[in-house]
Amino acid sequence: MPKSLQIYRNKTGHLATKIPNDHDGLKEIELFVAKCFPWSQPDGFISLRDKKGREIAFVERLDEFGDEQTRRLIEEELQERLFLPRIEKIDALDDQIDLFRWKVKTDAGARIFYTRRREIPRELSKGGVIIKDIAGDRYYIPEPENLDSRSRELLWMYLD
Amino acid sequence: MKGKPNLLQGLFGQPDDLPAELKNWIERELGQPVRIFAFCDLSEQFRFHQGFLVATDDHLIIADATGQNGHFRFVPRTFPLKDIEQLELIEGLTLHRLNVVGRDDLGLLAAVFFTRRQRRAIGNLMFVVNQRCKRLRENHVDDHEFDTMDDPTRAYVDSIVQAIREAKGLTLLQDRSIFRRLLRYLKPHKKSVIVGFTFSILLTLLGLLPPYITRLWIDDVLAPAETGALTNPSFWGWLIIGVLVFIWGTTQLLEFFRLRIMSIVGEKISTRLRDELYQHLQRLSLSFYNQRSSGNIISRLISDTDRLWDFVTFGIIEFVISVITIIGVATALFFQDATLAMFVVLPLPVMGYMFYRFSQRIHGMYLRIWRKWSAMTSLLSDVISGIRVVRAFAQETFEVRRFHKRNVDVRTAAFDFHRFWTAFYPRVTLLMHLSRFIVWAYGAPRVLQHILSGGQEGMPLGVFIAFNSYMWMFWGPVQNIGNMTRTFNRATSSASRVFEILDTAPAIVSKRHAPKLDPLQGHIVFDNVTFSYDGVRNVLKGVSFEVFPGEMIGLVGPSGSGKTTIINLICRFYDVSDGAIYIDGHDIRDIDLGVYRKQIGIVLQEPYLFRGTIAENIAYGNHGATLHEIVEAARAANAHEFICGLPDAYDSMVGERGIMLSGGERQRISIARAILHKPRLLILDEATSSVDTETEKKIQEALQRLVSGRTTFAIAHRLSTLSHASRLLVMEDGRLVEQGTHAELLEKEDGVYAKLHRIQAELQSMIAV
Repeated sequence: MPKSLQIYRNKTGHLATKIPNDHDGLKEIELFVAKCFPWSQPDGFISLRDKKGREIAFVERLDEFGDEQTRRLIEEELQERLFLPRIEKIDALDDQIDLFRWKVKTDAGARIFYTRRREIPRELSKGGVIIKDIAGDRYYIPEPENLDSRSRELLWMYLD
Repeated sequence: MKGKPNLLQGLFGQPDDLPAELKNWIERELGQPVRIFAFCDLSEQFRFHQGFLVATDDHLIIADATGQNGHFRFVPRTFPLKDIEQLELIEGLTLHRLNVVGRDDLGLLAAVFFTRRQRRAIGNLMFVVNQRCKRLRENHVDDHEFDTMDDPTRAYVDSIVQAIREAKGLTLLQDRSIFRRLLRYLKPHKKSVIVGFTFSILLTLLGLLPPYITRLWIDDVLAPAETGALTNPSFWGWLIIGVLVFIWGTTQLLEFFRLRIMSIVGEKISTRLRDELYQHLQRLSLSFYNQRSSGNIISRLISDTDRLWDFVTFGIIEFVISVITIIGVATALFFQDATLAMFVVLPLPVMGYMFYRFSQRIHGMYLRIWRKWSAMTSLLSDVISGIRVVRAFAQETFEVRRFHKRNVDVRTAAFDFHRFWTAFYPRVTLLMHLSRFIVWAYGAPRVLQHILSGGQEGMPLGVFIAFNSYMWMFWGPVQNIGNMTRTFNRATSSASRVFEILDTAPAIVSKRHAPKLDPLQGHIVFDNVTFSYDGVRNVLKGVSFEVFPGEMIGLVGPSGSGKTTIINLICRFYDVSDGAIYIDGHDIRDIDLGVYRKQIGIVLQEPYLFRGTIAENIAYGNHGATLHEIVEAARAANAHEFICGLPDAYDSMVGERGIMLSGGERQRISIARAILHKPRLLILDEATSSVDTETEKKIQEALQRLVSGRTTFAIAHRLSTLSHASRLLVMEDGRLVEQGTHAELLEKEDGVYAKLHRIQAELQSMIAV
């Protein structure tokens, strides 16, 4: 199935594919893409699901899809779903007793966000940490040890 | 949010309102007011940027900013709502997308991007616009439908700020007024505070005297006595000793009174704060509790009030004393020898800064250790609780290794901590010694000069010794002031969390002189009731039904269909968003709530037993019940027999750390509670879902006794439980889809109830096989 699966973007901007319906015709189903291991195995293990969450296709490697446009669309979609600003520099990290206030530069631009004091950052097995702010937005520091010294100095009590 | 005009700007660097030019443009070009708007903080290229999504009665406007360095120009794109099929939200990890889907063949008209922070605001807008589009489509336009809506700016700001409010407490007060308000709590204790304060100042001044007296002793008694210039040295000697003893005694006495007075004032203040908070918490509606975790509320009541008492009674005074001491000592020094005083005073700011840095850093260290420590303890409690699984999967070695790793992490962090503070104090002491060295290097030759010159020039010995004593009096206050920023921050933070609760107005209050429905007949009417918990998603949509006194109503439907919400509304835990509920012919919002609720009995799925004896739990809500009544109620609830089988019978302690009761037993106690309560209106929320069949039978019997003659609402998943109901209301997706008796509903072949019944019957037979 994955090999022959053809995906396109439909009029309403969703990924979609056509499958046979009950009457020998084709019907369009909209597809939603999910990564099974967004942090531990970011490449591969991709599940395509319909609106109701039923799995339409599953691959362990993206190149299992034979169609090139399909692969491209899936990658595009994943990039959007899993958009994750990478913190490149920390301008300030203020201890506000119950919250930390972060003023950072990310690859998507400057940002101010807050984390709970008791929220422990999540260390990934492949390296780097994910920081979740009070609204639930996530930020990624791929290599905390390679940040500039000022950023590391600010991070020291938050991370090691 | 009028108190803080730039709240969002200050917190997130995000605009607090629609830019005036954009708003004017919309109102001028479209001739309609802005009804609702939201901020879009991501661009199509997934970069942080500024954009607005705005809705008027008939248009949707997307305005992206162009330009930079704060000089934005907004380029609006306008979409008539009649061209829009719907707005569609697609959630991602951080990035969310809102598609503007056009009607018929128009396809995707536009898309905007934003982060989770904006989700609530965008969700509100989406809900409003989708409803409006639907009405436009159905040619069912109500010109006044937006009239009840919140002020768009306020709704927008509130939606963004809520996450911070939960964590930190956001009063509208500025830091300084928080502080002033805190001081107001001292007012009733004015006398004690003034006494405590005066004593503190006296103490400080008295503390300055001994070195000065020592100096007098050396320079004005000893030295003249040696040269024979003093006629009565022993008299003067004893006088000085006497004065010193007097000072020491007075100091201790004052200290004793000061501590005692201020601790008592502190306790009184924290008691008052806790009482005020608790009283207020009991008045707040359930929606307040839904927005906050119970842990959060408890910590405000306990640790925040505690922090505040410490600050008000000791923090402030200590700060004042420190300042007075420093000024006093400095003055004393300058009077005796200005040059030397300079040498001693100059390093003080450096020292203060060192202590400040130290206190910042040491708290970072604490946080780090805490993090490691909590990683270890959470693993511990996890594994101990799941020890059977560990054994079953033979993971002992794995767990030992995992624990060891975290244990080592704790040790490493602790090492850092010890390394830090052990290195810090010697460094400070070294600085102190440096000061002392300067005093000696400068002073000692002068003392010698004084002696050699026979008192003509140089520094008298007494001054030198007084200097040495005074110098040591600096360090404590300097350290205090260095730590002060933190103490102040902690206190304002706690105060704002406490005041935030005190400033929250209860959403649900009885009107004054509201009619008291006593006794309640139990006639209930839902008239086109629509309800939403969050102001966005309607969980009940136009529900209407009528219940007559004494009827037993079964509420049926899949989870999330709105059954529990109906019950919440009947209890008036919340007020309807639209429509009305009538109790015995009165609007529920007009009747006396206390009298009404006293006549409602609830049996919940997870019965809650308070800490106390079984008897106390049965009598909860009827504190005057006699023992006879308690036993009768327990008997009616089929609970009497098992209770008497317990070693302590009705006096058994239950609740946290009490005896273990099974779910069915606790359920029967809570039924006994409801029976004793003699409710006029009874609510059974999944009362029998978590017990075995045998127990269920016993509970059913008990419930039968309870139900008879009372208006009853029962929710149950197991449809068989509702076989006695006079009528069933079938809910689906917030709507009332069917109603009738069990038999009537089964007759509808395609009916929702008939389908549910078939599925359950099949399941039952499968289990039977």
